[in-house]
Amino acid sequence: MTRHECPDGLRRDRLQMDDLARYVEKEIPHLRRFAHSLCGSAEEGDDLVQDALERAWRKRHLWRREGSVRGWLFRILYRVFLNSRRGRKPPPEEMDESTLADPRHRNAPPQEMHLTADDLSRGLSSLPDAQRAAVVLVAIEGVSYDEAAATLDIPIGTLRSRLFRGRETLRENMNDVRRMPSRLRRVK
Amino acid sequence: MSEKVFTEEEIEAGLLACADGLLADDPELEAVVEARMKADPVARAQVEGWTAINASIRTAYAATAVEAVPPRLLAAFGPGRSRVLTRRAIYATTAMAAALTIGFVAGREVGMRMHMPQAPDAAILAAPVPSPTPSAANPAALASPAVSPPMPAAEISPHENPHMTPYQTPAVAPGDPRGS
Repeated sequence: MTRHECPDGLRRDRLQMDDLARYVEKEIPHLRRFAHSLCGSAEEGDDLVQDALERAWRKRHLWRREGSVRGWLFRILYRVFLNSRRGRKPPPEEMDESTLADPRHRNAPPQEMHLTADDLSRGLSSLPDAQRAAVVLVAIEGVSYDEAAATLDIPIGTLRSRLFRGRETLRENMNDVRRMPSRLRRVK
Repeated sequence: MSEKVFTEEEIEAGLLACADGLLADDPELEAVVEARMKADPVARAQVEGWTAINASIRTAYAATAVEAVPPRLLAAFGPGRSRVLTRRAIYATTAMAAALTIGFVAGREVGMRMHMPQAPDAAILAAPVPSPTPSAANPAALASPAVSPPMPAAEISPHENPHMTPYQTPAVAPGDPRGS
């Protein structure tokens, strides 16, 4: 078949693939931000983004054209991240919905938050991968809980519990331990 | 019109959503959450803490979103050499080279041990030689060649050892033409 005989379908696919490449390129800064916060280092984060983009290229035929490119890329990146971390840390503890409503978990005194970059970095790196992903994804991208849960491939209740627990751990880490008597230590 | 009643779980979820600015779509829950925060300073501090954490995370990674993207990332979504596959190839090559090196070194070591004369072990030289005389202290001397002289090799005829007959060729009698 010559180039002149190329059917319209193929040309359309080519155009759509070019569009996809443009969309993907626009999303790279967002991917980097998410990856850096997940990995805790710029270099490791960029490696993760590269691995995710290469995987996205290999799996480009699976992209559903009606879906969000950002959501698709973020899902791929998170899966690549989890695969790379497999075996490094024990799986994070989960907390069910009822824990959120437990009044014993809300007895901390009011406090001022003084967050330095070091505090934040240390606090985020102390979180289990799954909690860190939930916290940074919602904080950085400002996505809805539905979108975040879909990206992380978890039920929305699990997302809420990870958010709650991750944020409370951050609050605990970033404040005087003496002022946080038993809040999460009991849960651990 | 009756006011909607929210469960404690829903209010807790609302506190989380409030910190993320996601309550605008649900004014009823938003009103309940705001009322809770006014009445409960602990809940208010919790939401303020979460909001501050979100703001800190956004600030910490704000620069990443505006800085120039490295060329290797721009080229990653497209045909080309995959970093993962390249890394796997490097691992495989390294593993193969390591296996060959270990095999070569181990093989050379074994070969040298097999062909080199062994120096006598000092412990063996220093050990006392057992007395050939049988005694209670040295019962092994009974079975030693010095005590039991070796039997001369001799052919045993089937007539002397009948139990070996099935395993031996028939003896040739003197004068038998088969023996000449």
